[in-house]
Amino acid sequence: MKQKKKLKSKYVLLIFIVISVVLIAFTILVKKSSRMYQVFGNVIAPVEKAFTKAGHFFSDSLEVFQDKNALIEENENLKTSYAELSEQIASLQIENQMLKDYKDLYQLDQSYSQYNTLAANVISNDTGNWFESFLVDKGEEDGITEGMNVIAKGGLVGKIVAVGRTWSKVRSIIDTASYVSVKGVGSGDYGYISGDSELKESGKVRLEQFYDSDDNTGAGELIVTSNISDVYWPDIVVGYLSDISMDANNLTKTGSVALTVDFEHLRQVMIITGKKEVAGN
Amino acid sequence: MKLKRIAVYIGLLFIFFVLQCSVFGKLCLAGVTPDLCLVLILSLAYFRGSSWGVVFGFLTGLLYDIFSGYMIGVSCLIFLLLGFAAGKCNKDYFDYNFDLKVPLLLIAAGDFFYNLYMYAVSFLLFGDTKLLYYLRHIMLPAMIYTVLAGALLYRVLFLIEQKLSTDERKADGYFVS
Repeated sequence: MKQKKKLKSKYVLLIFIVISVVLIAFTILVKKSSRMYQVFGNVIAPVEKAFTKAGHFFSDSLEVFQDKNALIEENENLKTSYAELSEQIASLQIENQMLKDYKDLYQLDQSYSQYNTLAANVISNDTGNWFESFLVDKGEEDGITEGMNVIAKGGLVGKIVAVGRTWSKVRSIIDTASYVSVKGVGSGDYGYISGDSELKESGKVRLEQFYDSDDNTGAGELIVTSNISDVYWPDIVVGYLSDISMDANNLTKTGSVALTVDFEHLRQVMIITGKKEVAGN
Repeated sequence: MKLKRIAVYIGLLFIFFVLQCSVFGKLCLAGVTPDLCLVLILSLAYFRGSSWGVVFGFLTGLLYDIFSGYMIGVSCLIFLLLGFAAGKCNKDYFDYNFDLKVPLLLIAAGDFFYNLYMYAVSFLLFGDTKLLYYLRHIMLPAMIYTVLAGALLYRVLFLIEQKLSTDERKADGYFVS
């Protein structure tokens, strides 16, 4: 009797290991598994939405009890930065007017604000600690399709990688598997950004293969999505160059970009409804 | 009555999975979330033995893989192996007296191996060799947090297990004191 039971659990183990290996092989060969994913997602997404709302409620009510001194200090800081900013606004307004004139001159109408966007709420994070993606509460029914760009207050967040009926999944640009073609606004040089788990904690991503032939790009350069990307719309703000150095090949540069979007506290995002159409896509 | 047990376990798996992705995703300490589902599988395996551990490990892995959408079967493999290992401790250590030492040890070891495996298949395979960095920033904090969550959740799971087994024995016609 005892012998029999021992054999049994071994066989169960063996059978399920074989099933898993077959599944892995199957996904590598077939690549797509979105059907099953959608079925599960449709069940889980609404429940997660409710739970996340509850979570927000608790964290919001905790914030009420913040330290008074911290608030006073923050207020002080805000006042000084307010003064600085209003000065800046004045000078920027002048520059803005100049920019408008130039734009009219060149008839540039592809401005950031002219993309049609749809607001969506973040409803859940990914399973575990290894990947950077999340679900939002807009899906097929709202006209979302795979590959649409996702932005937030401040700039680029990522793109849609899977769509369900009422939800979709966003792979953010801080995921290590994400690559985005970018350019420096001032110099017009191209490069790529990709997520890096070490830089992620300080709100940065890695800049790679940056061709700065004239050697005129320095820290503080505004980095935006490039016009040669086949997924991302051009001129969406990514962040500011924080450091840069020449690679060993003496051709390209590597550095890091400080992101303008706060990925730690992302609650609402905007989905650009409209996909970049590229030949061969 | 086996059916009832299976239904309860699947319900628990669903609740733990949703909690892990939503509420605990926001309550993260030091940037990590606890692996609640791992606590569930290891506890079930410890209560019921290897076969249960393997089957529920596989199911949980499937849920993980389908949901994170990378490669189906990868988490299945590690979860069912961990379930099998935890189930092996059932005969030697588990009786119906509450004791935290063995399960917490299992959870700590299980979480460590799970994270090590995830690092190996999704980072090391692609040439990312910063093991020490991941050890300090993900694996160890995740292990500590999971053990803490485990200490609380194991108590709940143990009570459920007690209730289930009492019901089963009653249904089998045994009288329990």
